[in-house]
Amino acid sequence: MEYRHPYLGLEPGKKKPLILVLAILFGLVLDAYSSFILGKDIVYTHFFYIPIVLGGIWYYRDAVYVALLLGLVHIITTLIARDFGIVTLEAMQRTAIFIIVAYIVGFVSEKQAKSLVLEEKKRRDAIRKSEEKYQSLVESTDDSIYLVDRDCRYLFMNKKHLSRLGLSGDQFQGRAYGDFHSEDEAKDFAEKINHVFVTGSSIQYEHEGSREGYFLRTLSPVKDPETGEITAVTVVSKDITGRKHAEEEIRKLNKKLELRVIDLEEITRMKTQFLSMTSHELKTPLTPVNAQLQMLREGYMGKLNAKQEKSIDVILRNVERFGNLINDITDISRIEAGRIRVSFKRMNLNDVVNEAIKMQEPFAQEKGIKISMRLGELPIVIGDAERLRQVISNLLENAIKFSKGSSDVEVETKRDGENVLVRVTDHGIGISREDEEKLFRPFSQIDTSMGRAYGGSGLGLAIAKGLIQVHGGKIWVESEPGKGSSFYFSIPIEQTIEEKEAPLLIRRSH
Amino acid sequence: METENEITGKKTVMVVDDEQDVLLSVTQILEANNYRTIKASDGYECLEKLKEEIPEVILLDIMMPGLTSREILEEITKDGRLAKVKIIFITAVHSLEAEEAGLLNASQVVDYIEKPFSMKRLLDAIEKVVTE
Ligand SMILES: Nc1ncnc2c1ncn2[C@@H]1O[C@H](COP(=O)(O)OP(=O)(O)OP(=O)(O)O)[C@@H](O)[C@H]1O
Ligand SMILES: [Mg+2]
Repeated sequence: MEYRHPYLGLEPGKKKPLILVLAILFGLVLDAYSSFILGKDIVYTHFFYIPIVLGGIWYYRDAVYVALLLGLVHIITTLIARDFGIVTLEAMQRTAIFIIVAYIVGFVSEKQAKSLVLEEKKRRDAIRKSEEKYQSLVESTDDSIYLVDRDCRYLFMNKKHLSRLGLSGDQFQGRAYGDFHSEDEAKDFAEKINHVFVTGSSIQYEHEGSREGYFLRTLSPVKDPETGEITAVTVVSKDITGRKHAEEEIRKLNKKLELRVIDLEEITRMKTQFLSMTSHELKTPLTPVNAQLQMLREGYMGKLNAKQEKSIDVILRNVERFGNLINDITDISRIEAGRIRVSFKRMNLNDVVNEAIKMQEPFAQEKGIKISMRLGELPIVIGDAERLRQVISNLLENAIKFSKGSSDVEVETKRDGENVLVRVTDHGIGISREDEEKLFRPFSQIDTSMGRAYGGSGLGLAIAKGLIQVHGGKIWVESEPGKGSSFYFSIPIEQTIEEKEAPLLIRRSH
Repeated sequence: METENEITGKKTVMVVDDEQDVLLSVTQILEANNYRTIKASDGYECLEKLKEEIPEVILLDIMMPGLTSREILEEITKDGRLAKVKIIFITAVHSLEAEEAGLLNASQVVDYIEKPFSMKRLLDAIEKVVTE
C-alpha cells in the first residue's frame, strides 16, 4: 500500500479523480447555465464554481494539469456562452487569470503534499530501520528465538531456530512445538507456556533435548501494550551443550584431582613414615654392634693386644660412618620432602662455631692443619644451634679434607648488614667454576674417584644448603682451582621465631 | 627393696627395649659399671616389674610393640610411688620427633640418648642422674 504522487512517482492515495471530474462538470453546467440564462458574459457566474473547483484542485494536488484543464473548461464554456463567437480579449484575460490562480492553488497544494510524502517517507524509514535493528538483533545471536501462542503454535522464529528445526522461510506457519519434539517434551513445554500465560512472569530452565544437547530456555510473556493481556510467549533458547560438557569434564577432572591429592597426601605421609621407619630399622641392628664393639675396645671382654685394638678402631670408625650416613640420608630426604625438623631458639652463632671447631680440631691436627678464628661481634639470631653446628662442621670437615698438606683453615664470623655471615676458607684443591653449582646437589662429588679417595657421600653440602634455607639464609662458594675455597653462609638477623617457623608450620600442616 | 639396694650398695637401672641384643648390650655395660639392672622387653613387662621394684632410672626405648611410649610414660608419671624415678630415653627416633610427640614434657624425663649410642654418653647420663 504505497503512497505515490504523480510528480514524485507517488500515488495520491485515496484521493479519487472522480471528485475532480464531478467538480469540473458541476462548474461547467453552472457556467453554461448562468451564461445562457442571464444572457450575458457574467464574470460572477464563475464565482459559483471557482471555490468548488479550487477545493478539488487542493484535494487533487496536481497544479499544472488541473490549471490547464480548468482553463480549457473555462474557454469552452465561454465559447458556448457566446455561441462560438469571437472570444473577447477580456474573456481571454479572465481565463488567464483563472489559470494562474488555479496553478498557484495547485502548486501550494502540491508543495504541501510533497512535504507530507517526505514526512511519511521519513517515518517509514525510521520504522524500517528499527525493525532492521530488531531483526539483526534476533538474527545475529546464536540463540534460538521464537514466539509461540497459547497452544504452542509458532508465530515467529529466527533463522537460527528455523535451521535447527530444519525449516526455511515461513514454513513454521501453522506448525506447533509438538511437531518437532517428543511427546514428553511437548507436554512439559505446554505446561511451562501455560504457566507463563497464567502468572505473567518469565521462567528460565535447563532443557535436555531428546535429540541434541542442552539448552537454557527463557520464556517471557509478550503483552499487548494497550490491554496488558498476554498474547504470546517469547522463547530464547541458548545452546549450553558445550558448557554442560565442559562442566561435566571439570567435575570429572576435579574428582580425579581430589583422588590424586589424597594419593599424594597418602604418599607424602607414607614417605615420612617410611623415612623414620627406615632410619629406625637401620639404626636398630647398628646399636648392639656399636655397643659390643665399644665394650670390646674398652677391654670389657678381656685385654686386647695392639693389633686387635687397631682392628676394632677401624670397625668402630666405619660403624660410626654408617650411622652418620643413615642420618644424612634421613636429613636429605626430609629436606627434599620439605619436612626437615628444626628447633629454633635465640642463639649466638659464635658459640656454635666454637663448638664445631672443637669437634673438628682432632681431625685437623691429624693432618697438621691449624684452624684459625676471626670471630666478630654478633647479634643474637634465631636458629637451631645443633643444625647450624652440623653445617659448620661439614664446611670445616670439607676444608680439612680438601686442604693441601698442612695449609691452614680459617673461620670468620661477622655482621654483614642485616645478616650474620660465616666464612670457612681453606687453601686446598679448590673448585672450578662449572663445578661450583653442582656442589650443593645431593650425592654430588666433583670427581667421584677423587670423592671416594677423600671419603664422604656427597650429601654434606646439600644438607647444609637445605638447613640454611630453612633458616631463611643463603650458602655459596668462592673458589680458585688449585688455590683454595671459601664457603659462606648468611642468616638474616631481623627474623623472629614465629617468622622463621611460619613456613615450616605451613609445610608441616600439609 | 630399698634395703636390697642398701645392702649391695648398687643403684638399680631398668632397661626397657624390645630388641634383645640391645637389651643385652646395655645391661652388660651397666652391670660392668656396677649397676643392678632390671630387663623389660615391652611396656607391659616394664609396668609389671615396676610393681615389684622401683629403680632409680628407667632407660626407655621409643617405638616398641605393645604399649606406646606415651602410654608407658603416662602410667609411670601418674603413679605416686614412681615420682622419684628418672627416665632417660634411649632410642633411634630423632629427638625432635619425640619432642613433637610430646614425650619430653614430663619432668621425670631427664635425658635423651640417640642410638647408636656412645658408651661414654650413656654412662655419663646415668651417673649424673644417680649422683643427684
Ligand atoms: N673445601 C672444598 N674444597 C674443594 N672441594 C670441595 C670442598 N668442599 C666440598 N668440595 C667438593 O664438593 C663435594 C661435595 O661436598 P659434600 O660436603 O656435599 O660431600 P662430601 O664431603 O663428599 O661427603 P659428606 O660431607 O656427605 O661426607 C665434595 O665431594 C668435593 O668434591
Ligand atoms: Mg662433606
